[in-house]
Amino acid sequence: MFFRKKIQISGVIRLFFILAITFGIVMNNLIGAEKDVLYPLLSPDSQVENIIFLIGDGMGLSQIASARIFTYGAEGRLNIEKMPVTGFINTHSNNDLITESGAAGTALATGYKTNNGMISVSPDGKKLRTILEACRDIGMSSGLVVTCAITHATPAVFASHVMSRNDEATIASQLLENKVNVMLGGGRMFFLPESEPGSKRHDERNLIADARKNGYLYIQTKEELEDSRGNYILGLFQLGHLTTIPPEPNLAEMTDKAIELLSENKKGFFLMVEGSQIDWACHDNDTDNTIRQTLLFDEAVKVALDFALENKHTLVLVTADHECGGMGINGGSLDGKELNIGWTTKGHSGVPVPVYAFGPQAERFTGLYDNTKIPRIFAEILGIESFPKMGE
Amino acid sequence: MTDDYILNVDATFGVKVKVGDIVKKGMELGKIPDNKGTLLSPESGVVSNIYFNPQNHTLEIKIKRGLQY
Repeated sequence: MFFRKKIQISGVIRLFFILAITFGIVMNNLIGAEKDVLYPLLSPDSQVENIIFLIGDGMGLSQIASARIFTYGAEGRLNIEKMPVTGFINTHSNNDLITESGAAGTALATGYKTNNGMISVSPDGKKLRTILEACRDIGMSSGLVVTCAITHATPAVFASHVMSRNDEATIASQLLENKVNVMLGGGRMFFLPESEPGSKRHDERNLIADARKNGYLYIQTKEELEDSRGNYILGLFQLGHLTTIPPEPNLAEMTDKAIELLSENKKGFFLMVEGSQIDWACHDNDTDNTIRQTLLFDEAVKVALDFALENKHTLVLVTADHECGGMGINGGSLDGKELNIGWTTKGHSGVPVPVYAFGPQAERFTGLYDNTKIPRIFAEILGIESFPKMGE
Repeated sequence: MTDDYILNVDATFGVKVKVGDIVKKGMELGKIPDNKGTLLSPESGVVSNIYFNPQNHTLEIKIKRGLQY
């Protein structure tokens, strides 16, 4: 009897502890959720109408983690890290374990591998249809937003086809011919005729005048960006690359405006946003600027996520084309006041890079896979046929 | 001569030297842009700076020459 009572008591105590622990976990999660609000998994049944594809050039896990630890401490989270689905992609190019942005971007834009330095053409020069072009062909609007010249490798792979990433004058004309709705970044030097000061063209074509003739609104300042309206916007805020310092519009502001403009199309939109200069800071092994550029990129990610959270029909995908610098976190303090960063190279590295997804169908991006798979999944989700596709 | 000279290597693959290194003529420095092979130092000297040029995606290696190594 006594023994039985003892069991009953210990059962009650055990139940009490179980309830207490459960309550503690729930409360801890609630408090944690308040501190680090996570973007939730959305219903996979919702139809995807828009895709916002954000690429941190050269951004590996250490770039993200160091920005997080420095800014919020080890237990904080960047906006990128609040996305509910994660995966990894391999980044090698067709001809080298170490890729560069042309070949990596071609994989992300077309679903095919190519050789280093090439822009959305196969190694033997065949044109590769891009996911932006495929979206445009089904009536969606398109946009490219970057902090480099709009003719640089990553934006170029989505709407131009050349054998060398250095052929930026040809890339500029192809971007316009491709009728990308919104293009925001730098690179005016490739749109001005050779006789204009600062031009890098080798002909007298004035692509800004051509753009205006073809219905583009051309803008050069943050104020003009804020006031801009219309279906075709060309914003070139510097002769060369952006400085990422005011009075230029920053990446988040440009992303916000691009979404506002593109979301006017009821058939949806495809927008690529690049944090271009994370890579550059890593090439210089410059930790402070790497963190700064990653945080600027993270603010743009927040703009995309907040739009998608409200819209419910927007898939947001964040990844990198490759890692740069072989960056490592070798020590430091939990509050981020100290960080011991190591660099193994001034070039790119061959490690896989992370993928973060939010929105309907986000769960399709889990696991480890090849970078060519990303645009193929985009096409499947949007019901686009004959993608990937190799032309003449 | 004691002036500097600058060599460009493809930034994708990094550099084989660091600031302060003594470079001997014929030493491998990195890869020539556009997949054009390996860049060998044309002269001897000391690496005084290495910086990234985003316009052509190269690393520019500044070498101080004029000393015998």
